Amino acid sequence: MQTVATSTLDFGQLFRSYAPLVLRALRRLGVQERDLDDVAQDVFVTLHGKLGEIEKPEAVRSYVYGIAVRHASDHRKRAHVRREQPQGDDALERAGSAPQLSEILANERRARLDRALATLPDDKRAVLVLYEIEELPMREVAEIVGVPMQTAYSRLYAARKELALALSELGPIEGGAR
Amino acid sequence: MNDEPVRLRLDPEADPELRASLDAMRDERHDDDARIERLAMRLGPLLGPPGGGGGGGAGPAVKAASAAKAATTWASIAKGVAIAAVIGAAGTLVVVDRRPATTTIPSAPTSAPEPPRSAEEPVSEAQLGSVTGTEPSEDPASAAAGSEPSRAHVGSARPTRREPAVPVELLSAPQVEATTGVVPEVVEPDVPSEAVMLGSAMRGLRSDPAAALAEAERHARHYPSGTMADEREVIAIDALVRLGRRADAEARATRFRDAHPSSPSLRRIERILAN
Repeated sequence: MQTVATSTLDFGQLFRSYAPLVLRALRRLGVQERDLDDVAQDVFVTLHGKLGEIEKPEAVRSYVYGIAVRHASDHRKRAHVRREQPQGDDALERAGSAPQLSEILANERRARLDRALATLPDDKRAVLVLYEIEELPMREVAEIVGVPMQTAYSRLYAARKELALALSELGPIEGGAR
Repeated sequence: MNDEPVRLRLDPEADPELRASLDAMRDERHDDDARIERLAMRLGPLLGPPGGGGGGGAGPAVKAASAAKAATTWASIAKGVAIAAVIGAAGTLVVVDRRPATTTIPSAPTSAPEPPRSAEEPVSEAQLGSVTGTEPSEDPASAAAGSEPSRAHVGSARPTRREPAVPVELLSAPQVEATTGVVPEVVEPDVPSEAVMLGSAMRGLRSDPAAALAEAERHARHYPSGTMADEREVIAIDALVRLGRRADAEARATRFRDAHPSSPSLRRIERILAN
């Protein structure tokens, strides 16, 4: 897990430190490549406006994730992206011209997982992404999404079930791990 | 922490294919340097001078790889800001120097902030041209008066220029204007920088679009052909949409599109209008 400590809340430094994290999280939260610049910009503009609220540098990461979760959710709710092409297509495009077999398989897995994640409601998707992919502690996940710990756990378990169902409906990957 | 559920990726009882997929997702790598640079340029008004002169050092706990990437990116940002500062200095030169004519107009303006620079290299004329998208001007009148911005300003008529009878370097600002017919941008000492002005507009866009629009218009008055003119137009169009003035927003977008058909900001403007 990437950890970023900042001794001062200098926005330029925060941008440098958190831009890769924001881009990664937004992708996992369903923001497509073509919209990534716009949504990431919104995240940092919002973060800039909240600098005065952040009392401790240690709290910055949660703020950043929280803002990213909200903007990703807003983005997904907009009518014109509702019928989104899951990110898998983007992932395949990013694979390059002559990928190795292992890369093809990894891309296929990511694409499939993206499609399954896209079926989850935003609140469950956020908890699952933050816990299972970003691997944040559950306490921080609850803080980011603004719910009690028990609610965060409930969302995680529900998200896991829905994810498993969505994956089974998508069918197995050829050459997969089964 | 101990009572947290085992993560699926590490759970031997979880579906192997799901575990492999989660691993694949975690292992995915993106080369986001160019994207981060674009983002930094967009956020320029908020970022301000890089690191308060601190250069490219990242936070102390940033992973080495991230730090190296960030440093590279930041060097580019610093260069961009330095270039912007140089452009700004050139653009405001004539106005800042209201004193009697001297032979040293192309000196750094006393009131301008020290342009932040990346440690390595000074900004050359060629770099200036390549970054701003213009050919380096060989016309001293154009260069000194700052009359020819990197791109035509939206809604502004291109000033007609007469050939100066004497080298423009030898003229004071009023003389430059009288000689060349060019009205230089008016930058008064108490006017905030472009970055401050647009940063304020950008921050207030959601909460107070009317104020953001006013700030963008203020920028247009003081920096009609400023380095951040594109960003100003995006903010203004966004503010107009938020204010429900869609027709005005679309008209402004049309003017922008006509003036800058290849601007990278067009896509953002289209998205704003689509929303």
